[in-house]
Amino acid sequence: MAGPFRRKGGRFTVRLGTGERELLSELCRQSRELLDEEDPSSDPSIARLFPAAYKDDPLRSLEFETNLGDSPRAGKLAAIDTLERTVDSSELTEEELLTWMGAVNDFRLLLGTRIDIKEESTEGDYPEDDPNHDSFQVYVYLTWLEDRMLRALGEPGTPGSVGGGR
Amino acid sequence: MSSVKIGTAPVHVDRPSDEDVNEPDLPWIVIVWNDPINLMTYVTWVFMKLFGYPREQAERLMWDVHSKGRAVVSSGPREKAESDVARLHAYGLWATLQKDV
Repeated sequence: MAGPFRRKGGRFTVRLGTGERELLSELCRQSRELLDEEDPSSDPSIARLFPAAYKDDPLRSLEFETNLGDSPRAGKLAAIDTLERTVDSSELTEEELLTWMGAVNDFRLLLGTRIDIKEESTEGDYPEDDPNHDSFQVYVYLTWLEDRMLRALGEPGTPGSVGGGR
Repeated sequence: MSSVKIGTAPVHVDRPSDEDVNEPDLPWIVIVWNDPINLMTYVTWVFMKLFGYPREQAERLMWDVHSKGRAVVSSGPREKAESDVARLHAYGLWATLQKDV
């Protein structure tokens, strides 16, 4: 069975429909807007992307955040930029696919927090008349997509950071 | 699917209660907390990727996170623990550091 991502030599072929690519583009746009306009204190889904490093120690957590500066946010924005730039590609490098997976996981965190996903959440919790019905459908799609990325990537190579060199 | 909004409605995020320790001389530990969104396969993959753990160890840690609500995934000096936490956050995992108990 041919999945959407297949390893071909050192690269990966990408087979996604136009609608899927448009959806990913739209999620890039919305997530960027959210990252630009909100911060962890104003938005719980942004807070989920940037958790406190010290539980119940706001001072040390603040110090940690101050030391890191804008780099965590810049890293996530850079991943979104890469996904957006390569969203119509039929082939990705491994580095690009890793970056796609990071961005898609961030979309799931943002969306999942927004619609209050729980461990036991099912489709029945988001019926058609629920305002979050469509969001849940997208969440399920992104879950499937990330699973396919993981299968295509297989065992991770040498330790590194998101988008880091190998 | 076009009507999706990653909008601005408030969402309650549950955070487990803590057990903070502040004694000197103890190493720092990095804890990953369970969350309902990250995939188990993804969490395992991140542990292998970030720490170079073999699959068995990464899966054991993932199961601890999933079933016990948390797992200690690394330890060391504060600087190293902070760096590990930052890298785990970059991958979207919910991680904190604290002094070892």
